[in-house]
Parts: sequence; C-alpha cells; structure tokens
Amino acid sequence: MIEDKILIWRFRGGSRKALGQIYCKYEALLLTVATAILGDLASAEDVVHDVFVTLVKSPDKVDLDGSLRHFLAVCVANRARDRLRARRDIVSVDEIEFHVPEGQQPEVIAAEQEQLRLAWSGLAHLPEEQREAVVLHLVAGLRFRQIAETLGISINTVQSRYRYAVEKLRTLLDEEMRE
Amino acid sequence: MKPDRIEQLIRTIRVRSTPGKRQERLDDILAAHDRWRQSHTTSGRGFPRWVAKVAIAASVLIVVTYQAVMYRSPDRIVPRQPQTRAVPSSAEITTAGSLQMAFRQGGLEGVERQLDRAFELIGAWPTVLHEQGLL
Repeated sequence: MIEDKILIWRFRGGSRKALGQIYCKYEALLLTVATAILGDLASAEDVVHDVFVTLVKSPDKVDLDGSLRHFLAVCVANRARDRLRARRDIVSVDEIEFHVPEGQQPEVIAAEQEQLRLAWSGLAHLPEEQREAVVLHLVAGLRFRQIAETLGISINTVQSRYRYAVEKLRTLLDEEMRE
Repeated sequence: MKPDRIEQLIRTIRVRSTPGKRQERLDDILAAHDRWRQSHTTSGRGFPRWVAKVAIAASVLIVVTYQAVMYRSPDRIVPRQPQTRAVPSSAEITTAGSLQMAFRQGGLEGVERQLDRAFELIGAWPTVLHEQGLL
C-alpha cells in the first residue's frame, strides 16, 4: 500500500506525525492480535505499547519493501507469545467491546455482537498455537507461508493448525447456539 | 455455523482501548520518539542539527559567490553560439540561377534582358516613372 510506504518513509525520516498516524491506523488491529494471544486487554495494550516504543528506537528496522501491517502484527505476536510463556492467565471477554458496522437495525447489531462474542469466546478456547495461526491469518492478513516463516515451522503445519482451529470453532459455536 | 461465517466474524473483530487510555499510550510513544530523536541527533552517531544548518548556509554562500564572480568577470568564458546560416528558399535559388545564367550568356546586358522578361512576365512595370525612382 502506497500510503503505508509514505508513512514508513516519513517515520524513518523522523516524522512525529507519521508515527502518530501509524499508531492510530493499526492500534485496533494490533490490540486484537495481542488480546487474542494473551487473553487480557491490559497486557495486550502493554505489548502494543512496547512494540511501538521499540520501533521508535530502531526506525531502520521497518522494511520499506514489506507490508507495515504484517511487520507490526508479527512483532506484536512475537512479543505477546514471549509474555504468554512467562504467565498463564485465563482469557476474559468481559472487558472487550465488539464493534459492529453502523447503519444497521438494533436487532441486527445485537445479533451480530452476540455472534462476535461467541466467536471470540471460542477463539479463547483454542490451543495457543491454533489461536495464533487463526489470528495471524484472519486478523493480521498474513498468508500461511508468511506465518510459517514467522513461526519457523512448515506451511503444512500452519495449514493443519488453522483447519483444526476452524473445525473446533465450528463445533464450539454450534454447541453455544443450540443452548 | 459455516466455516466461512466463522472466518468472516473473526476478520471483523477489533479490540479497542478506551479513548483516554489510547491517547495516554500514544502520548507516551510520541514522548519516547522525541527523546530518542533528541539524543540521536546530538550523539556521536549523527550530526547535531546546528551543524547541518551551518553546512547548508555555507553551501548556499559558496554557490552565490561563485555565480557573482563568474557573472562580473570580464574574461568569463562565454560559450560560442553555433553559427546559423539561413537556408535560401527555392524561389531565391531559381532567381539567382537564372540571373547567373543570363550574365554568362550576355554579360550585364544579358542580365538586363532577363530582368525585362521577368518584369513583363509578372507585369510589375510601374505605370508612371519618376526621376527620383530611377535614381
């Protein structure tokens, strides 16, 4: 994306405004990735914050040729994984608000929010490695090959983790909706 | 629920901080950026900002002085313009050719006869002749 290239170029040139724009553009996406892996919003906020502070100190690490979205998502996922290894918390969904696109009927919004809550809750029940594969693929938009390179595993392993995760989510959500 | 729908749901999930907390984090990151930039530009790795400004000012001064000296110097090298030579038109070539031929054949009288023929052809004889015009 040309907009991201310009943002990276300006940021590497020392632009404070470009840094603010990058933060505002990707904060929600990165928080989603971090929260999905870590399970709580406060820790996820810390991780995203830490990634940006590190980025500030080494602007040359941001590759002009690569995708900024993918780069930041991988940084956040790596840091979140490290933090997760240090502690094991139960994933909580109480503090998360699910945003639904505006301009819809209240009943539709309520139904959509409930489905999002169920999906998020289901995500929290997945094993860590499956959850990471799902979030990096669906939220961060990384291809399976890129996830495999990031995690240092084969592409087949990533694909099977993803397949198992979606299958498990389907079972969990169907059970929840029947109740 | 179908896998497509599950994927679609997860794609749309976005976790957001409260606006106040978000601004607090952003301010902190920007402050870290400012601190790092400040230490980076005055440390040994990079030039201090004032050095860059002085260097730019000196460069501008050198260029301006050079231009002024070159402009005022009497023996400055002026590039020679390539000499252009107007190419005669085909009508001019024909006229010159016919006059040259007439001169070879009959000298000045031959040229005069040729001119008379030309004037008769185009009807360019003046109706009234003045002495002043003949001189």
